[in-house]
Amino acid sequence: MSDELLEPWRPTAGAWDRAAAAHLYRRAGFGATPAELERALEVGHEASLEQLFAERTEPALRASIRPLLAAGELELLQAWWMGLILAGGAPLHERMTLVWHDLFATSNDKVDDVRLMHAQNELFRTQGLGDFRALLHALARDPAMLVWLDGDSNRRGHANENFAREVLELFTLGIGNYEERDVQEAARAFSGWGTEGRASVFRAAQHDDGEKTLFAHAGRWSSDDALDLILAQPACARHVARVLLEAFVGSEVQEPWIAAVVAELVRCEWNVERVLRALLSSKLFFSPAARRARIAGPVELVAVAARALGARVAPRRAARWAAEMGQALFRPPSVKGWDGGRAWIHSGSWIARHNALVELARGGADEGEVHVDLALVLGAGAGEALAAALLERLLPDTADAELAAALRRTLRQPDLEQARIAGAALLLTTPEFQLF
Amino acid sequence: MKPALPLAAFALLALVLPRSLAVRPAPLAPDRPIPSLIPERCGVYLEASGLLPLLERGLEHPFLKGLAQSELGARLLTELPLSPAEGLARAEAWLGTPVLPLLADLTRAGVGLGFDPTTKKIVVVARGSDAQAVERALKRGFDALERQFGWPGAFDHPQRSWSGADVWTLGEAYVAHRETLLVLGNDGDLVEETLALCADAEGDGLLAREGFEALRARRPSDAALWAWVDLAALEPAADEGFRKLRQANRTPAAQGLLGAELSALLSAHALSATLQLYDERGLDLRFTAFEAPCVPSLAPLARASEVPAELAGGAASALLYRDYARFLAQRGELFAPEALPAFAEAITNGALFFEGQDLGEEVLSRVSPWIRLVSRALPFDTELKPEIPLPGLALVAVLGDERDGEAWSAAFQTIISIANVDRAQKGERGMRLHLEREGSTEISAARFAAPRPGEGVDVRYNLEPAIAVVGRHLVLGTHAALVREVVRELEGAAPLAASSSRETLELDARSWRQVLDQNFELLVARKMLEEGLERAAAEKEIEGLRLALASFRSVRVELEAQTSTSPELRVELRLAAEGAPR
Repeated sequence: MSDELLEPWRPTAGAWDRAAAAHLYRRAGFGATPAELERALEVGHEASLEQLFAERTEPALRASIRPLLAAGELELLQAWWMGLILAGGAPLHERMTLVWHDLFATSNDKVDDVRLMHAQNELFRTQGLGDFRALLHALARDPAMLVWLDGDSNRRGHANENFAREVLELFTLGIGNYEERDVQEAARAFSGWGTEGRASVFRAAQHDDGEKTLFAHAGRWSSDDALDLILAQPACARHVARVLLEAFVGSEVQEPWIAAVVAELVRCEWNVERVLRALLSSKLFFSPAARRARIAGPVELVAVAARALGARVAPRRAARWAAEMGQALFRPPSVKGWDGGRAWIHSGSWIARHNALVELARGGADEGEVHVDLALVLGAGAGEALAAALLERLLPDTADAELAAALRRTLRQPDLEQARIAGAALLLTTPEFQLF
Repeated sequence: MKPALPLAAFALLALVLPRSLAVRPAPLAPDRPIPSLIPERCGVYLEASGLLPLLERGLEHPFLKGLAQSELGARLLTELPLSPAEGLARAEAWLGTPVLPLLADLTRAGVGLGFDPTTKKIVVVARGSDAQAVERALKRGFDALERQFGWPGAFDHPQRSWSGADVWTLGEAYVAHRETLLVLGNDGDLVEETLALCADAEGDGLLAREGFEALRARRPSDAALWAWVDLAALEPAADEGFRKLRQANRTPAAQGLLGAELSALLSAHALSATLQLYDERGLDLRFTAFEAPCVPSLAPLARASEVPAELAGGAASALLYRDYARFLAQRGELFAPEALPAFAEAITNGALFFEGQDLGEEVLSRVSPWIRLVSRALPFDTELKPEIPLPGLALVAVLGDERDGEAWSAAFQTIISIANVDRAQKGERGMRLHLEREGSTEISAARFAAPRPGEGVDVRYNLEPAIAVVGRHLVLGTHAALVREVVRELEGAAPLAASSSRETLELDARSWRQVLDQNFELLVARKMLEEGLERAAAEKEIEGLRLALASFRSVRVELEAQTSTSPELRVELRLAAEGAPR
């Protein structure tokens, strides 16, 4: 049965509609602009998926952070990444970068060096769709990670277990799939790796090269050996499969889904892109159970809403909105990353979501940092025509009669532009819009 | 008929009209000043009588020629839909007469604008010297309007007569004419009140406002524009930000940074601004305060003191008066109670740095309040040149006794050591303290460890703090290289007497343009991220700033106080001379 889940989705006539296309773009990227959605409907779901995998970020935009790194301002780095997300040049690359940033959560609050945070971010961007095993090995030598989880103080005879514990508990296996002794032994294997300035360095004299027993395998394991032993644990593939499913399919992950993705991971030799190609074109991905099954995180909510309205938002403003909603890029609350799911919603964050989305619908109140031309996106129609345009753009898959009625009531006002703003604000702030 | 026309268009018009039958008041006295014709309720006044030379010489006026020849002017001209000459030619074709002479005829005896902050309405009073010339000019304007909009005869007769003046209305706009007088406005009551004032030989208008005449008397005779604002009158209708600004002289930050006079300027009852255009391609902007609550004990010359010796200029240089000793001593009277804990912390830290001495009574009281600042580009080592290079800044003060310098050097070393402890606790490398010599002077300096290859040279490498004592001069700088330069310049120099010193600030536009050029990419990228601009738009904005800097040679700001309640701020802007090195 699990094999069938990842079978390619063959849409029946009309099944590849605006709702299905919007679903693909919300999950595999950060939503679509009205023009992108039209194009997706024209070219079909396979070509659309191909487009999502294509890297076409404007080089100047990606390089624009270089002169700013010397300033050492985190807010500029946050804005830069948000700018890449909003620009939509490499949606799946940026989506995976965010997924790995959440899994391998590293905060500048401790690292306190935007160059290191930027380097780690680029690592996720350039290797995030490649071999997971290579990514994990690279992470173990990433200077930001070494500072974050105390690599420098992990020395022979004085093991610091922070990195080993988080690798096992949070990054690869999960609680219950290792023993305390494995943490201690893995920490010994990782010893000696630290930083010198902004580079990672292996200090042989500080490495514990004695025999260690890891998962019942004895040997004089190095850092790389330990990671290979971890990767060989069946729980590791299950852990990675769960991460991918929660990010792309839904938060209520079922056992057969995991089995299917684990099999695909093995078949694809841990190549994330190949696994995602299978997952994002599968029956499972397009099934009703997968749609509108996740509460949108702040970064994706801001980006999807802005792109749906064809809005131009200054990246710094967008990053600030996301931070106010509880997701400050490069500053996850702990090594566990963001809790996500229902934890995104509480009274404070709900008000922040409401304020940001209303401001977006209004096109911004100050300094021209937010610009949206609702007349261009929604057309010149009023009344029923406007209601239909709003629903088609923002909630193409809703059939909620009460919501539609509330929308029509909201649109009953003499000023057409005010009606557009009020209607867009109403739909953006509904729970339905914030379920991805 | 169109509901409204711009007042400016009306100002160009003119016409002659059948005379009203109303009783005419006595002729306007020829020496009656324009402000006496503006109703007293106007809290803002702008007088443009000094623009007459510009109207008479037009585009040949040296200031306009200089501006047009500057890089900024040239750029602006390329972006205009019409060149100024083409614009004037079109206006001439429309009016049937050259426009600038016509405006000169209308305003030859003065022109002023009043703004009532309560109603947010304006009135303009213009006075020509020859009634016939004014009448001809008005008729030209009305004729042009009639032709433009197809309203033949629309202005043949005035709609009403107020205080002996003929009045026409068009939408919300009012035009009134009497003898050499032309009154324009966007509020009937205000225009009527103005005309009544003009008819009243005893009327004082704005001259009756407190302090108005005192400020106007200080206006230079060649001022192109003179403005007056009753700040106190604006306050009730202003936003929170304006009200906070008015309280600036009660905040330690404003007093500490801006000084007693400048912070008082913002809290003044009224403020005047004067613009002078110079033939030598520069302009002067002068702000004068009336009833500014300046704290006398913190103002220049409040206590006998010396001024640091002169230094060569740089990107910026300043001479400031900051009596931080009195600042601390009188903190309870000067500032709000919530500001006092920060002072207590500063005094405690001061005692730690200065070996138990009281920061106010034993340390700062032995330093002259006159401070000289100089900012210059730095000759960085190639390997240690920051990716964002900034000019260095040095501060020079005068110590009461040469021997006090040792305590300052020791405090410097203590501060660096404490900062190093803090950095070490965070696992960061500290600054390396070292001593060097420049001539006979010992310099204490600290620098960050050099970055490893490939690590990048962060903005913090602009900081290599240093301190030196040259005779009784204390020199403190952000970079040892700059402190060395200043020490060389001060060797053998003695402090100056402070008998006529004023606070000054001078900026060298060429130096700042170089800073901007060096950081062009950074500024563009920053604008893109912060404001969401496309690269081309961001580049254009920074380029505009660059051109502005290229167009000015220098800016000089000078503060002067004739009395403690009327400080004057003078801003002198010099255009870059043609062919001068940029």
